[in-house]
Amino acid sequence: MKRQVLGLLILLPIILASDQPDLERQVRANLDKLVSFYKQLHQNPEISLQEKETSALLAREMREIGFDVTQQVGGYGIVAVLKNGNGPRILYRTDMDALPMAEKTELDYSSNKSIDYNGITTGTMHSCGHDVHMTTWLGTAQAMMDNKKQWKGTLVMIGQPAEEIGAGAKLMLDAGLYKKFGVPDFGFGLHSSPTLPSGSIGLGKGFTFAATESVDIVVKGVGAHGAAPHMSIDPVVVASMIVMDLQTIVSRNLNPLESAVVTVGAIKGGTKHNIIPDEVTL
Amino acid sequence: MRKLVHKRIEEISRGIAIAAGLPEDKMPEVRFPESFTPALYNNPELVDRIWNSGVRVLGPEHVIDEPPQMVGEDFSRYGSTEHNVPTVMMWLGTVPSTRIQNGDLPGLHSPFYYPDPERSIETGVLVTTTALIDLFNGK
Repeated sequence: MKRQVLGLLILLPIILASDQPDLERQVRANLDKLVSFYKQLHQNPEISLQEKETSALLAREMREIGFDVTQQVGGYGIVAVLKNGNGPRILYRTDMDALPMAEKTELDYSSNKSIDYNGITTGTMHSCGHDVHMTTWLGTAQAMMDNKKQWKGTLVMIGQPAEEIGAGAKLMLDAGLYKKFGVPDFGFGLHSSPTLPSGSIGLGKGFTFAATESVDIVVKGVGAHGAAPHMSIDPVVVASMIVMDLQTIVSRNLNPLESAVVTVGAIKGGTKHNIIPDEVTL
Repeated sequence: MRKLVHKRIEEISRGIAIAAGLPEDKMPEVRFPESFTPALYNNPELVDRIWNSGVRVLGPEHVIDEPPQMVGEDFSRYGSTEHNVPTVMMWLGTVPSTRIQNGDLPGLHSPFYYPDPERSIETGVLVTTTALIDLFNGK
């Protein structure tokens, strides 16, 4: 009798502490597979609205884990659902798109892909960490399946296209995300931080990211030979002056206690040294 | 404020074009998008819950209070519908501490950005799975 009681006392703390290390062990066991999946994604970046192979790959992996997957929900958007009894409905989103820029890291798994982007050949790169987001998402899907007994509810995991152009979430919602797959009780997403140490997370309350939009300015002019500026109204000069004056919006027009950013990220115009073009786009 | 910035972009563009002698039919065309990405709001109560899950698996020193940033994320839309779904976007650290100490910190959208995949993904899966299970269990 005495021995039995002692046995129970020793067992109890082990059971209480077993929940977490179990998950850690599972995640570690799956990590090599996840990291090679990450490298595969990193080497094959697809830009906004072109996430065809990426979304197909994620859909395939999620089906293999056992999720019920619907593709083409708003462009290449995917919705993977795991129903696991009665409980809350939680949405967990990853984005899938990369950026039109050439990678300059010298990693052995860096991207060599290039595409035609508005008539210009440019590289593509996962420079915003969406490959980390997708891999974490997939690893979490596996862990949620492996630990099904520990929770009840409906997990709605979505792969969103076109985050970089601010279009994908709208595409998926407009395609009936909440109508077809239910309104979630909570929504969760994560983003890679380029300043926080790996092994840590960061959280902020309230408004944490800004409202953003992209504006185009088409500056017109009168083209001429580069050696005959008097025959022109040079849109390159006009555009340059506009770029400089735009800097005064934040510094001179806004209340200094409020925050805004105005960035001109692209200037396009002209073809050759000695031609004054008739249009420049900012 | 957004309206004021729009107004100034139009006035500046037009004003400089006039000063350059461009005629009325060659004034700059300023195109504003039909919709913009709304600001992202992290539901404070949900932040507390995820914070607690994070502290439990990583320890308090690895859960960091992050100030707001001026980047945009259309994740904000999932919480901006008429349903008012409480949402949280969490930052996942991706840089080894040694690189932080050396100031080797290429930012997002830099052609030199390279996260530390092993540790970042391991942490991401661990925290996210724990947080989701806790949320499902009402924790």
